[in-house]
Amino acid sequence: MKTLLEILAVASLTYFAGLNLAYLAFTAIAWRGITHHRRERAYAGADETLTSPLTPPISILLPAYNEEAGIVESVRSLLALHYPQHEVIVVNDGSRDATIERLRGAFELVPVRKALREVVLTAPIRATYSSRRHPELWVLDKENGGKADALNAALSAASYPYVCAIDADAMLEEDALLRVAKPVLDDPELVAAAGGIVRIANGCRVEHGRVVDVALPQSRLATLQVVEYFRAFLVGRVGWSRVGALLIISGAFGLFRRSLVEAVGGWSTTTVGEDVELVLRLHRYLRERGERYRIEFVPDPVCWTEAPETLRVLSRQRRRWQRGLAEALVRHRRVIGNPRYGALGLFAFPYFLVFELLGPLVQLLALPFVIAAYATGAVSLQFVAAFLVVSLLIGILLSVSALALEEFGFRRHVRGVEAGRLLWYAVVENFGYRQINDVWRLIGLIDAIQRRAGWGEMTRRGLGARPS
Amino acid sequence: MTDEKPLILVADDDDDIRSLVTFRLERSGYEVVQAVDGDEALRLALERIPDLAILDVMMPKQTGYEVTRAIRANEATRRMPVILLTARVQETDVTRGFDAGADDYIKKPFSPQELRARVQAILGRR
Amino acid sequence: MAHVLAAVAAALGVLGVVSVCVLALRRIQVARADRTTREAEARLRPIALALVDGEPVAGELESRDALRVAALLSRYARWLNRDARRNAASFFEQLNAVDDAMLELRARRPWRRATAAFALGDMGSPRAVPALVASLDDPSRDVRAAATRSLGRLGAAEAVEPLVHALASGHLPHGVAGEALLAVGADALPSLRRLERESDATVRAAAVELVGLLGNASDAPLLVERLRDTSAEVRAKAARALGRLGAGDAASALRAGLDDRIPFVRAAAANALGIVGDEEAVPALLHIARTDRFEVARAAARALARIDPSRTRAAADESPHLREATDLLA
Repeated sequence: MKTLLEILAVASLTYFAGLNLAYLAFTAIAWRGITHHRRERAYAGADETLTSPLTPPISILLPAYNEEAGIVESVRSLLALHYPQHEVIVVNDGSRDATIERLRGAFELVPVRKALREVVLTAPIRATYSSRRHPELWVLDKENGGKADALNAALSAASYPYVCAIDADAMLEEDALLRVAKPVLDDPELVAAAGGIVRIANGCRVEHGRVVDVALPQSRLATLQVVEYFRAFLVGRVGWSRVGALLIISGAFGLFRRSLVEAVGGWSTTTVGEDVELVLRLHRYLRERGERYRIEFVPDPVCWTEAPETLRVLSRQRRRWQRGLAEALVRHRRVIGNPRYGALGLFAFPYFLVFELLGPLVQLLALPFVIAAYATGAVSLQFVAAFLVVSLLIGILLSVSALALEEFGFRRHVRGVEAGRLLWYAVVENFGYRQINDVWRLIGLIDAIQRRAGWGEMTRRGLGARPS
Repeated sequence: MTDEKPLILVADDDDDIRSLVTFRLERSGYEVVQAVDGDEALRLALERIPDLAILDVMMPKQTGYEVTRAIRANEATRRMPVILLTARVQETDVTRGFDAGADDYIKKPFSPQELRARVQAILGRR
Repeated sequence: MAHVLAAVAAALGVLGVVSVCVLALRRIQVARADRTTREAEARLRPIALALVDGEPVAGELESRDALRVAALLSRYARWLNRDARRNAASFFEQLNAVDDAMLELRARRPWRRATAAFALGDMGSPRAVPALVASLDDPSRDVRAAATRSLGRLGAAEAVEPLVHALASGHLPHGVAGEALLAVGADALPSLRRLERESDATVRAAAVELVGLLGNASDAPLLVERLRDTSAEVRAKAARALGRLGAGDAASALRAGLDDRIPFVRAAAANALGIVGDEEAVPALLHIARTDRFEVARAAARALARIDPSRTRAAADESPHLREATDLLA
């Protein structure tokens, strides 16, 4: 028994060593990526693309369900994005509130029988509208079918070679489309998809659907998420993007080549993780065809979203994310360890499987194991203490390095007080927040195994509302 | 409204562009009032009734098109000449500008000298 | 085991404290530098603006101020066209900034070369063109991109051929190269016209597209020739270009394009005919709007709506695209 526990204790140590080495590797890669990105701004010059007739036009796809509070603001700010040529396609996914009426009123919608491509089947579309004032705006009114279904309907109506899927509550910066389209503009043959970073808007001042002043949230929970987002987005995705194995393009803001999305059959309506799942499917499609391609992560801060401020909503969100990840990985399990899929199969999938999917389980059991090992005398007290301290310190260090990356790369949080607060939360994050996140993620995994259905609704205050 | 120096409204959210245009115009003997966004531009246009307005198209709060339309809609400012400064020069954008009621447009990147010449030409006609 | 862990813990603790200190110090440093820069800029802005206007600097500038003025001028240069930048160019020459930057083009670090290449575009000195053209072969993509942009800013007509070749072989970011060539403007046309006949189809395609954006009516005959090119890409771009130039006398050639094997060429021909307003194309366009595949039929329906609205309305029920076009006409 004693030896067994000893072995388990060593095993969990190995796990942690592996995990943290991976994090270290990411941090190093991300540093290089962001330093390069920073230097690049001195000689990149994005403003010219604004005037260019060569910039590829983009169709923005906006699924909307019960969004009466903020839909008009949202659409207005999307129409006002700085981009040479783009259209906005809003899909009212059978809302039970006044979403479509608000749109009709604000944009002078007139019924136009739009020809739809219908490469991917969707729930029936009741009507299609064009706007007199804004000829680049289209509104589809359809029966409820879920976010993926709505995206597929919008896809059907898209005219341009690139589509950008956006969440209704996501707020984009004015240059967001330009920035996320830059990889595509540079290498149209090669780049299949690109994703931007999502930042937390709680606490920021929002006017006309745009973030005009960046500030940290009042809510402790939201601030913890800010730190977490830096660690997860900045470090994680920059890293994976650079090794060509970016798994996740946020559902809140992602750019795709339309022909490819159609070729793989659009977004999947049978999973809650339709964003992850689509990216995986694209990777597989292109690799299986032996085509050279890139799926890029654009680290510029460009997209803002409201984070949950109550434990209940946050837990639902995390459970759903974990379930989505699990479903996507299982669906594409043939990729795991398969050298045919390059870095994706050899590194990304195994990493996500071991550290992201099963990780919460190991992490939650680690401490009990170590304590049990001590109780049976397998390990000394010094070991337990040292173990605890090391885990905490590594956790803190990783969060701090993510903050440092933000400092050096973008410096959006300029006020000194805010930097201090972030630092404090980077420490505090490790005393409870991470652990409860692991619990939720574990439940999410169990959900996936049990195949529970349902999304839960996130209570939304709507854009333009002053943070309380 | 009219004194010794004609008054020109310059509206652009970019500080550098505003500096360049204002400097050139002031040097040429005009008085300049500046706005950083569409709302401020419209407010100043209605309050101070300048002799000419130079508006950036892509401004926060209200675009140059919207401000132009509002200027045309108001009795006091209806005849104010408007020049649009625009980075976009697709055919649709130019027509959109004229449809909104602008008198002229200038592409970015631009020449402050040329802008002044156009201003002089327009004001000279009045 | 425990000792190892304890040592690791200690090391991490130290590392943590050190990094926090470094971050804090850096912040203070950056804030201070920002403040100084802002104050200096406020002071130097009138001088920079006067320089743009053509008024030389009265008296000597200390070197740090001179660099700041140079930075201001570079920022302004983004918004100024070539004529307006001429005045600032002599300031940069005075500072020897152009020579310094050209030397930096041979620096060891790619980002230094790139920054220098970029700056040369804003300095406005044509002397830099040969060196920038040489940089189009730099091993670093960023340097090539920056050199490309600067060549565009300098309006270097002599760089057009190397630029188009580098673009066609994928050495340059597509958008940056296209923009640079457009920035050169009409001066690029002689080279582009020559390139329309190159053996490499990608070069021809790029040249044709640019001629469509920069050219004039006299370019129509050459483009009509390209409508019969062996490469579908070139044919489609030629059709687009003819539409852009509004070449009415190319109508019959464009009509022939409606029968092309390749769908996107047919669509491009349809679009162009719509812009040109060719009434003789109406029957063919109607047929395509009824029977061809999605993208092509849509292009034909839209073209039809532009050329002959009443005919379109009459045929509204014959295809979803004609229906859509009719509804949009209302």
